[in-house]
Amino acid sequence: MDGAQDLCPAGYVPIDPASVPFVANFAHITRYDECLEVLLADAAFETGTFEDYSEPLCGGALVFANGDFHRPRRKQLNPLFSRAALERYDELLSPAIERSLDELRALADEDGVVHTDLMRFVRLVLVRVGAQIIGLDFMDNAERGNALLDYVDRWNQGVTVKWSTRDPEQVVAEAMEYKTVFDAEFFQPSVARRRELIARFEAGEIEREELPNDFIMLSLMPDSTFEWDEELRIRDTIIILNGGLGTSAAAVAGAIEEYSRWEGRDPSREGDDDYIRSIVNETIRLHAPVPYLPRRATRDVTLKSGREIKAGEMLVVLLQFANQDPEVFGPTAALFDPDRAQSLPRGIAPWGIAFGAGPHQCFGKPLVTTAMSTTTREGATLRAIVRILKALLAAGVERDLEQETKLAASTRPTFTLFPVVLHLDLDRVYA
Amino acid sequence: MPSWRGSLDAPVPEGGLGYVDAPWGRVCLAEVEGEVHAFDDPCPHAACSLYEEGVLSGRTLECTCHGGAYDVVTGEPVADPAEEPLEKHAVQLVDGGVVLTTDRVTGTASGS
Repeated sequence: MDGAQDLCPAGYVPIDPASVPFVANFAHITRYDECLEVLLADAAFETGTFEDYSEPLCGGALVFANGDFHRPRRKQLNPLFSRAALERYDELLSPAIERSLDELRALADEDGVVHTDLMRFVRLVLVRVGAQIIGLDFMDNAERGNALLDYVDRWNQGVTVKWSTRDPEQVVAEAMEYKTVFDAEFFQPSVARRRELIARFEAGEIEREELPNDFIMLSLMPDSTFEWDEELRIRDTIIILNGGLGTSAAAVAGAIEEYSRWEGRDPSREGDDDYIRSIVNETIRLHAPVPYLPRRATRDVTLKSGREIKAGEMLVVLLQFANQDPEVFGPTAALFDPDRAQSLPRGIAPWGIAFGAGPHQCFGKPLVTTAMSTTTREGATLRAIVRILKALLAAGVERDLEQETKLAASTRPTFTLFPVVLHLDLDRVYA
Repeated sequence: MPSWRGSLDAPVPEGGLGYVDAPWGRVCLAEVEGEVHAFDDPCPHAACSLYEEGVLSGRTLECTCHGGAYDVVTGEPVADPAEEPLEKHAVQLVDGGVVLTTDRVTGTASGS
């Protein structure tokens, strides 16, 4: 699609919400302080799909649930992002990156040059981590990874149907077909295996510590504080898998785009973890991968700014606008500046509120951001996007200018194709 | 280190939580065994209000928003998904108000 190159002009301009049919008539929340206030007050501003098409695919799933249907469920899933779990995912990442690069090496010319689609590369790396988080077994061959990725891509169109420019019934019908196939091929075998493990645990044959720490297992545990039914279990699976892959790939593409144009670019620092981290953080601030968060007011509310919201009013929290609020990020807020984090007001994250805030803050945020050791302030691990970007830069990644990028058929612009060139040494380890 | 003095917006009950609105934002106060501890109110995990969402049991403050928990005496996180420590401030209770000694203070040294 023409125009994709304009997605990230120097000085990023968010899409005008008035041009997005689904939210054109909603109240537009753009100030950082107002966005934060709305996101934190989940009792006053409820979330939801706010359309009927995607209900059978993802209605009631974690990101669209409120109050008692949301909080106990999310808490039950805290072990998915415990420190130990994050370390396990970290350990999976490097082999997953190398494995995907190996697959590309087979396609490279004699100089090690290979042309590929960055979006698929990143999603393919992460789908293996996603499968681990969900608890999908038998993911040990490339075909399974590719198949799962195809399902996730199709679900993505269904989950985000409110932004689609295609026929919504058709989009969701296609996604539902893939849901049925996924259920039979991937999901039920993994559920059955975990039910067996729970039965063995209850019979005293194995210890609790021997049970896998994954979504399916947590959702099946008899002492769970939230009761999933079969349908909700698979809807949450769809949302969790869908949530991480496309947004992460978009962040890596945005980082490569912004970094390639940044005047402060310093290739000699591309092995420096903090340098790469600052590039990722600043990219995510500017290009919040989920830019619009619709909400419905459950009661009359006057925000601290004095703005009045009426009960029943629909509003949309516009994260990309909030993250360019000059009151918080200064007069150069629209510009890509990885050094910005050093001068941000205290309490403001380098990525702003790109992950949302409050009860519905992005579930997978810990996979992206890095927490320092709380006692030494050191020992930060390299989380997914930073690790992938670092490996790609080491492989000399650059936009393939001979091929055009493509955008999704959506009023929420995201790349579906981002051609890049890599320069791979046969013997080098990149991740 | 500069200090800021302000009136309590919600008093601190024994073994419970109160708060004061400081110029840089709300500061949550927790009483543990006769001592008051002060820290910025937004939970370091997802910015939920620790005063409104927090449940104090002894020295452990659980943020019910996501279930993360902190030791209010040390400020350290003690339960996932909390990862970052609380932003603590030195505090003194004085005549229905508090004095916070902290580098968060800029400009005038006296509040409401």
